[in-house]
Amino acid sequence: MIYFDNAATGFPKSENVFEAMKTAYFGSGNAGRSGHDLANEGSLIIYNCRKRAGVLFGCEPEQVVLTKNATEALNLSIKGVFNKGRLKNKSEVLISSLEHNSVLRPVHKLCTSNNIARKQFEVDLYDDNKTVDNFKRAINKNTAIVVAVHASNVCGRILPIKRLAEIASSYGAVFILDAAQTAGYIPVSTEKLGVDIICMSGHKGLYGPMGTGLMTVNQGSKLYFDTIMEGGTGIGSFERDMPEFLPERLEYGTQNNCGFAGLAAACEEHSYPTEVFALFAYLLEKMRMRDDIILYGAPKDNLVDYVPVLLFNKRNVASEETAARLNEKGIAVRAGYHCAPLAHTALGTIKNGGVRISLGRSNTAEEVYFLLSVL
Amino acid sequence: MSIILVLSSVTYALKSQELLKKNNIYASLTRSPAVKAVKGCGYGLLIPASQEMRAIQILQNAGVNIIGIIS
Repeated sequence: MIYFDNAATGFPKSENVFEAMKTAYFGSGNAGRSGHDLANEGSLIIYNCRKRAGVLFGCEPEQVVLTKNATEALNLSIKGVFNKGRLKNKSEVLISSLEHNSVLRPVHKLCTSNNIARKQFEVDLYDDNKTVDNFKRAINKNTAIVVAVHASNVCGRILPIKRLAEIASSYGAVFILDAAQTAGYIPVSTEKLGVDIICMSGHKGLYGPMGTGLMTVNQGSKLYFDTIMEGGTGIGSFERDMPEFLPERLEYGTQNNCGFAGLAAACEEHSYPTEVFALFAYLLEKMRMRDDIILYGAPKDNLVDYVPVLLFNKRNVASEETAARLNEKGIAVRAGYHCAPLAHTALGTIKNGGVRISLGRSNTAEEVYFLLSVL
Repeated sequence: MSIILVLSSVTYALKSQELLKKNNIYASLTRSPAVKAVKGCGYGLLIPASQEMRAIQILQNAGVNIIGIIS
């Protein structure tokens, strides 16, 4: 199979990741629960994952909350930071026009449950200044939280997060970044981007195992999190509430030792892929030349503002049909709406969806030639 | 003779163990009954009593909260 669905999950994972998972599977007990050697080995696995992720994302191990995916991290963040102290009569939550359902749905739930407003700012795909102006018009003193995607999972456009975060900070709003599509492709860090929380998958650009994700919390933000799940933590057992401090405050129940051993290995061997951006540029150039192909939201002269994701349709062919035909030829792409109705609305594809090609570190020029020939 | 520094979580215990090791203080992780007496279940680091003051200084400089010391 020629795999162009790396925005869904990075594939293939490395042998090192598998070996680390296998070692954890056969050689660890329940992390943070007991004092025997096997449990301590489990604790070390979990700690090592925090440490490796911390190195990659510029933070300390205790700033890394381990989750089962980016969606869980986003839910813990969005619902956690909107606690009683931050809940005001006219509070608003501001999101971008390119959000995935992993942001839209928890924000929708938060807003309807608390009778507060959800607002949206439009992302201009070809002019960051316009995006920033749109953001300035949408934010106000009642904006409690801003949640924005770092790069769209549908068209790959990277948002000017640092500029947006500066503005959000001046209004005292918490900034939560969804880096599911950028982590592993470009550097992300709460301090460098000026955001409060970054949520990400472990299995996409990082090439860790599926079922892993994490969030990093800016130490300077001094955020207080309400919990949305509670349970055993292996510490402070007499207390009725979850521990007051991170990361344990947001982590409940038994940890996924195998998954996080794999994620640690993935972080350790990670290097930012450069070749994939050159392949993306080539693919884009060839796709642009085709009269029978319609591109949506693709780069023009701003390739550096994109991760390697391309949305298209073959003229007069349904997206799922194109994807099915490609699958018959051994090519994996994803069609439809990509769990992102907002983005498809913004891109004008809400009626029929689109076909997404998402390149990854293992793709080769030969694979791109083959894709183009089959198309 | 040893003492136990009680840390707030296993994350801080392991971070502290690393910090101390970098400073040539060898600490072992423990969940002894004495640690449990501080706040239910918890983790501590067993270190030589002779290193107590230095270890406390190192951890405090790193911003680690020591929630108890068991002699």
